Amino acid sequence: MSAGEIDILLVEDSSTDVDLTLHVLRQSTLANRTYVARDGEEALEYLFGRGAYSDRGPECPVKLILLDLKLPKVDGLTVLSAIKNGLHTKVIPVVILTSSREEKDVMNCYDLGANSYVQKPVDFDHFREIVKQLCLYWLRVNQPPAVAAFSAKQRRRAR
Amino acid sequence: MSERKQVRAATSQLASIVDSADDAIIGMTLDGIILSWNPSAERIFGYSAEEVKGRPISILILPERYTERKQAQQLLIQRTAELEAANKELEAFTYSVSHDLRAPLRHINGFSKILLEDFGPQMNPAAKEYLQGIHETAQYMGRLVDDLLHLARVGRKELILQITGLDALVEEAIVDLRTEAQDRQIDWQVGPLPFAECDPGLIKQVFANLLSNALKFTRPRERAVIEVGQMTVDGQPVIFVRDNGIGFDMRYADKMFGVFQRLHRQEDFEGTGVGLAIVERIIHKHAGRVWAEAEVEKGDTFYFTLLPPGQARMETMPMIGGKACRQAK
Repeated sequence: MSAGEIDILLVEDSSTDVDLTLHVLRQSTLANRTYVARDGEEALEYLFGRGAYSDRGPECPVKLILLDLKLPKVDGLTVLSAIKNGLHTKVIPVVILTSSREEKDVMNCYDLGANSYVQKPVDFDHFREIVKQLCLYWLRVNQPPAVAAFSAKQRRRAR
Repeated sequence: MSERKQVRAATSQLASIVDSADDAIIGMTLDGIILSWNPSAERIFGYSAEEVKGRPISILILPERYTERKQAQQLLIQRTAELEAANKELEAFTYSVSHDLRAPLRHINGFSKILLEDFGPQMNPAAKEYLQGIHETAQYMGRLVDDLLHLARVGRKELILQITGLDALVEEAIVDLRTEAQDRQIDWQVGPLPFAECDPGLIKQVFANLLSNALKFTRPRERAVIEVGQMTVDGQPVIFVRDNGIGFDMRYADKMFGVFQRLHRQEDFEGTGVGLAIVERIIHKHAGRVWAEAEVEKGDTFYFTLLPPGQARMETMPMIGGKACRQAK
């Protein structure tokens, strides 16, 4: 339970999909530290320093969240909503990475503030290419705010 | 015989012809009031002569026919609703199964690829070949599943009808195909096309699929000629897409529109055989017809009908029932 820098939080319940995604992430040197949450509850506890992760501080160093929608215990949409409403977490880019391409799922995710929506392709090469591009964009190209300064601004606004 | 006796004999002869006839013979005034009613009329309509004499014919006959027609109409509506419900269920099932198949396919595809990459060099060449086979088959199955999903989604989609210029849709479809068309000699002959009341997104897909097929099956030709135009058949506007490609055997013309039906070998021409099934589904949703004509090695033509603007609001109720309702009032 490291409190250090984590590049990516992967929220995925299928162990096979976890294996495949981690394999791809390892191949791409961009994502060195990936944490895996196997259900919605674990993801929220990790991000908000609750339950099993209460030793973690409120500030969240995660740079990118890859979120599946079909999760046990707490589902993807609820996790998304919590992230985008959380003081320290709302700034973290959330990429929905899921099997579904249902219009209503896409709408709901954007409505709740998802930064991107990607359907997992069946073809592995294609999948690998997509994950690499996602990492390249969100971890290198995209400019995030300095988290501490951003949180401070949010707190000032909340008063 | 005296004149009076002759008349009486003739009258009773005529009367016995009417009485013994198998058909109902009904005597009426010009206004439709019943004057006579023969035994067969009693048998057929179930009313005795005393019950009906002096009454207007409309009260007795139309209500019965009206009831029959009404029943037939109700039955037709019910059967149509049942058929639609069954179709929707099938489409929902196809969608859900195809969707659930994607994840396991991704896993097979992924692990076989990783094995080939990480352990390929150390593998026995035969083993490597078999593994390659697994990977390629999984990829192909992935395409089949995605195509099935596509077909099911098309079936479930609600039509958004609007008056559309078909020329614009064809132009867009051709632009989308330019990558496939580059480095090839293609003679696009697009004639003026009518306006139709349709779902533009779906009809664009119809053109995209037909044109993509045309491109594919004209590959052996040095110069592909692809024509899109309109003609009139039995007074109805018909759109056609014609190419000078390898064509097909007309004996299999009906099978072509079936799901996953292909008339050519996978090695010769790639594809999963869902393109035409999607075209048919879309055209049927638009209450149109689609059919094809071809000659082996001479090319083929695909025809479809769409409703001109203003006709798409037709009721689905059969006209017979409609008329009966109006008459009964």
